[in-house]
Amino acid sequence: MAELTPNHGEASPDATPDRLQEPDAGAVRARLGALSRVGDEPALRVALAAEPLRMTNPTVGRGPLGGAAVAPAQAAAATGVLAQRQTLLDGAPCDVSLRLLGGERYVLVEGDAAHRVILEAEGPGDGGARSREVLVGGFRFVVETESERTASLRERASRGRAASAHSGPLQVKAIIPGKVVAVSVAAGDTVTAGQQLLVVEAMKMQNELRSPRDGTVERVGVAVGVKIEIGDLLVVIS
Amino acid sequence: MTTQEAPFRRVLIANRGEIAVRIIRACREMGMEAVAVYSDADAEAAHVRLADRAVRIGPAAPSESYLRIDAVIEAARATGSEAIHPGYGFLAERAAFARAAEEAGIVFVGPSSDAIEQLGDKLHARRLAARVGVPSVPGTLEPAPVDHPDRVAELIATAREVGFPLLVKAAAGGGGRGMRRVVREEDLAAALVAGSRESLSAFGDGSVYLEREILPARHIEVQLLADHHGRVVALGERDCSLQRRHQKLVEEAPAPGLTEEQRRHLHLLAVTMGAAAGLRNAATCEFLHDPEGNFWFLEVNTRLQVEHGVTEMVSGIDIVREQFRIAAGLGLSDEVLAAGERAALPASHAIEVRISAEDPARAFAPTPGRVGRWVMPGGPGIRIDTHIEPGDRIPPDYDNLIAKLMVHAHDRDAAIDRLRRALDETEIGGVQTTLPFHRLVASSTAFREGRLSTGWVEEYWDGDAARAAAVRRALAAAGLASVLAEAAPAGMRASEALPWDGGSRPAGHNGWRNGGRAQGVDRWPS
Repeated sequence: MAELTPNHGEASPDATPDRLQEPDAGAVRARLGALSRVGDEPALRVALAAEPLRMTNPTVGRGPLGGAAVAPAQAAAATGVLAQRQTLLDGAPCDVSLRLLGGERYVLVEGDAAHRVILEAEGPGDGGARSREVLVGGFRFVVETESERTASLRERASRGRAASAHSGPLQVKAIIPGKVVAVSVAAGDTVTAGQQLLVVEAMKMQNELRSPRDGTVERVGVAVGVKIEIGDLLVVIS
Repeated sequence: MTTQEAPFRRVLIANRGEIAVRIIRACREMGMEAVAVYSDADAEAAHVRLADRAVRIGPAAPSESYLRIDAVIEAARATGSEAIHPGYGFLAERAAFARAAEEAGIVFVGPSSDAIEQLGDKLHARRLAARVGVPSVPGTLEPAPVDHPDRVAELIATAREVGFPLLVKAAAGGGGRGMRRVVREEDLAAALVAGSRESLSAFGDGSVYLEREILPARHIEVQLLADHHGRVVALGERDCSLQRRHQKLVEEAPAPGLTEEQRRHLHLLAVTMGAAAGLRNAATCEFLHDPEGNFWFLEVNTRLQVEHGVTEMVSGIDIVREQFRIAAGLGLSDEVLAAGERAALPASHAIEVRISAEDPARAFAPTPGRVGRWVMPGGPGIRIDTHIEPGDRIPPDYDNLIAKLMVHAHDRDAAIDRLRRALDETEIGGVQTTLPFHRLVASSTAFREGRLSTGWVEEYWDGDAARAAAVRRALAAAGLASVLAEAAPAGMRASEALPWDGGSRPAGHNGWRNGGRAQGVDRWPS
């Protein structure tokens, strides 16, 4: 298993658009519940950018949540922090925010369009996820949410099991999006199970990617500084 | 206390769901006792709760309960009911049921059993139309020879006269059953066999005939009321073009875009048919309207229609009330006659959307289940006919219709605006409904411009796209709520961590007006 190096709390005022795209430690994976799903509909990774938006810069800071929303006194403390951070959907900054109308009713503000959304109370979902009914645009779905960290650890574990039972070339693919910050192996290297292959910075954390089994590195598909998405081929081990 | 003498003391309603509730309401207003019948699936249903008495008539399966003529007649007899209102569907157009009521000395609220029988045979109705000079959809007037290899040449010759593409239709048909579309001559024989077989199993009658397919076409029907004195009045027409598999989704009154002259002509055709058939009580005469402006007679429905409410709103006539009055032997009231006079010059507009437990993104597949959140719209010009309350179960055994949302306004544009507003107020959870489709209709330019046809749904409804946009919004909203809850200081509820929407939405927009699909899909950042 990779070591997880917490790296949050380093928010600096000189945020660049690149840094805005790095997922936050509080990222959540939302996907349709089994009964609402048609085929293999993908999950959506939802996070807030680490940096507060700078309201003085209209190209970066323009976001409905950064506006002059009136917040109840109770929420003022939270909104002071949260309302000024941009929404990241699957890692990409999006002009999307959520506002409370009252009760279970919300408004999802999407650019200059707004959609009434109902988020019913949460209950337990599959495998530790939280589940709730969501109504939007006349549709109703069951949506499950869990923290990105939990989801990716669980996936990694199950992939690891699947991989060790498999012979032949093994493709190591990205299970979280982020940026490659170190590559520790090159084509032709012999590796042993558990040896570090590369380090991916995601969710403001350094994630070491280790070899799932003994073998020879056939190919390295990425280099330092490259941004990766879920499913990108990283390393092939034969 | 009511202002008029009740036409009957006690009435049995041989139906369930929203229409049973609708009829019970009329009974209440007219000072008549209402007797409900119910299957095991409906023991706690709204119509049972609302009625003065309720009689169990069998298990859930319709064939063992609501379709059992003997059980329903026996329930009427046992409760001392003087009349039976059949509603729509189930036994409403079974001549045998009307006859059994007549023979039991119970008034059947509808046309005579003879009229039901004759008009239920579409070929008979087509021949009748030909006799009185009402143009039917071009086609045959006698049953087609099915599975007669020796008559294939004759059949093909007839089919060429009708013209391809054509429809094989069941003489006893309804709801598209027994119907086959035939494009090529060589497929005709097989389509006849298949249509006939389906018709035989659905209606117990395998007679089929040929009819030209009129496409594009609008489906326009005329509401008739008739009394024992042979007076027939057209209360106005409805456009029911928005259909899916011959099931109506949206209906409106009057039909948009018709001139006064066209209306008078259409109403006259319908009244002519009604008079020729010896109609009594309420019925509907259906036509296809082609782009050249022709009206082609389709069939007569000898019952109250699902969509009668839009005509009630525009005409000001309570059709169910009139049905009871007519059934009790009273002549058409002055109000009905006056409404008939006004029918060609409608002064307002009404639209109904059928909210059904169906998934419009999965080919309108049924979605039985338990209703959760249930918020219906209110305010001026809104009428909701429903039998549903939060927590109610929608049984898989019956029709999927769970509510009819009707809006009424001074003209069609205002009615569409009102429909959009009403749909924005409507919240239904627990089961997927047709609401997304109705929201598209209410915001559609084509609909607003009156571009209607029976192919509208296929042309304008993209269920996959609508669903994909909604899924992304649902995931983003649930995800954001979760992220914000996690990031909120300890002890603070998720809702408290969110900015409260104190009325400051992005300039020029608000959550109620921008719920539509057109803007949403385009505006999602890619």
